[in-house]
Amino acid sequence: MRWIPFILLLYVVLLVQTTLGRVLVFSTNSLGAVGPDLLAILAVFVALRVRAGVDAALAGWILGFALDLTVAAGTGSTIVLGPMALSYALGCWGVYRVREALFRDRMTVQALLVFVFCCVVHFIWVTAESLFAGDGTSWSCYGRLLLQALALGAYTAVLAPVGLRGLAAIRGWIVQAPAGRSRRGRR
Amino acid sequence: MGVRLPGKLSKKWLLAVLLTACVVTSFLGSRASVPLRNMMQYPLAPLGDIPMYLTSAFEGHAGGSPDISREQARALLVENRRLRGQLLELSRLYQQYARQERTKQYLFGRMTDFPCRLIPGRVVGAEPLPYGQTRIVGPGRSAGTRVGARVTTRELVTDRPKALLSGYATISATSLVGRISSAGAFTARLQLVTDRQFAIEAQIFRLIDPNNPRQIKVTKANAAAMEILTPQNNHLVPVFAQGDGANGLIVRDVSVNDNVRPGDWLITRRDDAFLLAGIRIGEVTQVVRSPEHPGFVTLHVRPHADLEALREVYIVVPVGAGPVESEHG
Repeated sequence: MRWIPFILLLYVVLLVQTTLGRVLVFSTNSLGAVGPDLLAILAVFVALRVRAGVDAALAGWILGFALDLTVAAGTGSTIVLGPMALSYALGCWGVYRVREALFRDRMTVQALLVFVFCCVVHFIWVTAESLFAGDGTSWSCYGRLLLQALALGAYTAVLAPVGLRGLAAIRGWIVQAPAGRSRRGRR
Repeated sequence: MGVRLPGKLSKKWLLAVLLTACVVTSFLGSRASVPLRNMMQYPLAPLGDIPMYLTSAFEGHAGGSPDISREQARALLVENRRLRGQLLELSRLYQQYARQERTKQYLFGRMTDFPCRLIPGRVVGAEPLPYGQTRIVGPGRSAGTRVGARVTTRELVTDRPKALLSGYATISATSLVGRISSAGAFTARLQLVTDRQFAIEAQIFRLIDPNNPRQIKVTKANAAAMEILTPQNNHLVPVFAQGDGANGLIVRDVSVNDNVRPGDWLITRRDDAFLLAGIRIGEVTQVVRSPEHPGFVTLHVRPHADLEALREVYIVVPVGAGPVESEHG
């Protein structure tokens, strides 16, 4: 894992997500705002390519912590710091563990992985933040946030193949080329 | 290119320490999150200005008015002509009234000026995830921004067809867009009126349409009576508005007797400690009868400002000690 280019890329993606990413957000009356989580695509990409599980979890932690530092509203009046980093680390480690069982270069598999990753990570985050919310969160509000997370996952999954293709083009900058038989990956 | 950690501190150890730190910061709540999030705005804010400008420009362009048919356009033109006539008559009456009022205020009135500082700000970032509706604005505590301060739009008002000469521009703060929820040294977090956690005591201003009069229920001599809404009995309806988490606000438990209709305005209260002025927040778009409470309705309000294309704002900070609001929830 090349950590410095990875952190630079994280900065760029985060900057895009907090500024230009607003263009991709749309509002619905039933669910509220729905937008993609671009960092999730980067997280899944890294988890699919790194050599060691601990690298995947560390990269996930860094991505989640960066997102944690920029999210300031959502479930309650207080948004605590930490649950996103924990859930991203867990999510990346999970993707790393299951990747050998998947045809990971297929577009549909990638999209499905991103969808599952987003759902798991955001369900954990929404649940943790709802529990930590100082003013309490109602069940209806919690249910709506879960639906919003589901929609976010689906939206991100739709964008994932494009994002992953783009990241694959700069793969050598952030992940060291694997040695030996697994170099080609499973197809 | 790869960064190697010192021998004794393995990556597993580092990961364990970081995960433990996350658990600790989670339990520390806003004591840990607010200062760290304020610090995170420093690297993002400087480079966020240009992309945010592009986003606002795109959203402003994309969110334009929808296409209308030829008949609708003609009807609108006719209505515009009629309204322009009414407007001229009203402006004449208003000038007469304002003259009288100025004289009266000068002779007998108290000073009603609102001592406040308007800090011009600029949106340089947004929320990365769609759960919350906040923005990062340019000036922070160093420029005088305070938590709780109300934030309004900043618009250039002119009807001059040619380029403005310096000194002729008029700036107006026409509508409320949110409040400052946390303030760092150089940037602050603006909570938009549409955020789920945004709540404000406000008022409904009912518009009087002579072509379509409305009846309201009033109490006179301990008896209820129906009356036509007129400027004399058109009192502001006090309400409690909350962001809906999407693109509007919700006002619950408004009495059906007040007969609020789509098109009425939601405005701020003049006794709001942070903004002693009545400015528009939004317009009622939908009035829904509450099945549980037959005597009440729920109002859906669309913000007056285009929040997606929000760029230039005023942060209104009361001068002097003023009200204080905590940023730790």
